[in-house]
Amino acid sequence: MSKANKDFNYNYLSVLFIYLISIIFLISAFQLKDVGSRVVPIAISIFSIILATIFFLKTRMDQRRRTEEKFDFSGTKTAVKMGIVMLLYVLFTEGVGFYIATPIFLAISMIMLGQKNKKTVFLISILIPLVVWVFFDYMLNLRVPEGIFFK
Amino acid sequence: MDFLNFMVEVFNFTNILWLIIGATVGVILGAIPGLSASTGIAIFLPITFNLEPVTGLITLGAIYVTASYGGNITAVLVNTPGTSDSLFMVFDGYPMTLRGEGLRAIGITTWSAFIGGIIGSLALLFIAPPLSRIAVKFGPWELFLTTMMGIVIIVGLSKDGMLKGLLSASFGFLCSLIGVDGITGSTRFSFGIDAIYDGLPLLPVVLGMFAVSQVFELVTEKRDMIVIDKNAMRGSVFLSLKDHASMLINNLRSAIIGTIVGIIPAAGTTVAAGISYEIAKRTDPHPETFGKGNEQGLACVSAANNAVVGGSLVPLLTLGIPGNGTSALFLGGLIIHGLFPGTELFTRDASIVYGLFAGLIAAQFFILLFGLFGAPLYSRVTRIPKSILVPIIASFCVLGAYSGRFLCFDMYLILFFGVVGYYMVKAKFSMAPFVLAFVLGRNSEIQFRRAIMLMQYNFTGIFFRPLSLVLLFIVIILLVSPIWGDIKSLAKKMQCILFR
Repeated sequence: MSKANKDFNYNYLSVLFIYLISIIFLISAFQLKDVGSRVVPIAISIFSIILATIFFLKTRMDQRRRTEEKFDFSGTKTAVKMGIVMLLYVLFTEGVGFYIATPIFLAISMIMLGQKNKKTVFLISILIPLVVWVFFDYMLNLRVPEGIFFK
Repeated sequence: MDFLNFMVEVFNFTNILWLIIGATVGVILGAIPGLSASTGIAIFLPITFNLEPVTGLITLGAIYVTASYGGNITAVLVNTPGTSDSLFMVFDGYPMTLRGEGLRAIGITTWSAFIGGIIGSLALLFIAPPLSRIAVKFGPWELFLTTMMGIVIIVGLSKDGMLKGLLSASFGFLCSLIGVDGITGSTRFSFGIDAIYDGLPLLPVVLGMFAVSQVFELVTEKRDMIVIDKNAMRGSVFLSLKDHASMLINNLRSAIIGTIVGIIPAAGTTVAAGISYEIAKRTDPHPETFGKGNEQGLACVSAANNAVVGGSLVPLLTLGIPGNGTSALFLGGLIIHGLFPGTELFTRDASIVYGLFAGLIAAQFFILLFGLFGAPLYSRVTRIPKSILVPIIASFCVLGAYSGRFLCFDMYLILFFGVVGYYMVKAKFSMAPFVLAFVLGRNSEIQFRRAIMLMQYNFTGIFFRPLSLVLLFIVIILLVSPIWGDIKSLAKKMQCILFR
């Protein structure tokens, strides 16, 4: 991780996020026809903007006094990789169904996270969908994503 | 007598099976650092969704109770609290393990947790029903103030400052406003997405925030697993009568403290353990041995910790005020099953709520069972490598999100809230205010609007309702007290500037 990244104060990103969300809600609230429906959303949005502004000023002051918060985002790259694999898993689950997507996901993510024992990878990848089938499908009669093949 | 009848009715094969599943999952999740009762409840919410309400709540209750205890195991054996609740266990538990008394330490923490849990659950049984009768006197305005009280208390307890807690709560409140307006029935803030036409579903949001964010966090950790030294697992978990007698008063006192602290919303296990520890230290003939493996020190925090669970459910079930993040999730569990805190829970849904009490008491016996007979297994449980655990949890999260409404959209929603939750943890925002505001936000808006309509937009009406005034006073005190020090120092500075 570069020094610039290390020194980045994530409070600013948080402020930006809160501003964005609050402004979206504020604009949408003003478009509502019923006055009663908009009172609370407008109040909360404005309250959030005020809070975010105070938070921004406090962060600036802390930075000037060199008492700013320290953040540890180390390892986020691995988390992002995991997030991408999970996103692909969800897309796959929607497409081909849970029972096909899950063994693939489990095997890939286990290998990605450092599992070297191929027997374990194989067993877990088969065992978990089987457990889900017994508990969800057979015992609880719950639906799992079917995908195009099981419809 | 009613309760005994409910007990007999509740303990059928299905409920006992789910109690065992819940208790086992709770102990395991509690023992694994990084996972907690919140993660367990979040993962199990979708599974209990299709069960009978009483079965579902017994399962969630068992997870809550046993996960609180599960954290003690790793705290005592490897100096790593499985949950933040078990922080105090390391003070005296781990030094005992270093002395080669690991199994004895497990025995002490198990028995004390059992005594604490039983007292907490009995308090819930006897205090909650009469307290719920007071809730009948609450009108919309009082209900609004009560929900606000719950949110403000959690905000005040945010570890990283009130401002961040308030921001987290505001975000949660905004998310709760998405969907059908509870008064007019018109749709708001759905941004053209049909799947959130009637609001963001609780299950994927909670699963994303607590479980998926944990998945992301676990993969960032460097260590692969925790290891328990074999030499530490010596001695016996079974204590002598003399040992029990010597700890009895300490255990009872700590359990009572834990229960009272649990009833006070948001005071939490750390406060209960801290007070109990301090009192035990002061009353012990050898206070200098505290922190160096004193058995009384370990016993008091274990009893207090588990008593908090029962206590924290008192305000939750009677007034709808969750005492901590985990009980906020538990409130989600109640709502998912169509149950709402208050008098009706103890009259119309009495069989469910008394079934829950019976389940909570039974779960305490599982603590004994797991503690006394499962100790040799713990060294193996905590050895599950991250590379196996994380993908399994991730897979169950995705499935859990889907099973709430059978919509693929919800699988994407947990990913979104998982990212949000991960960012919040890393950027040091507490998630509890978000969840609480998200769970209570919509209802508090409805109550607020009802109240102002009933008062015909005349706010002076508040001053003629003593209960409202008291609640308003409490909310203001709770809001101001965490920043009172800052206000005083700011006033001093202003004084200096003005009168220099």
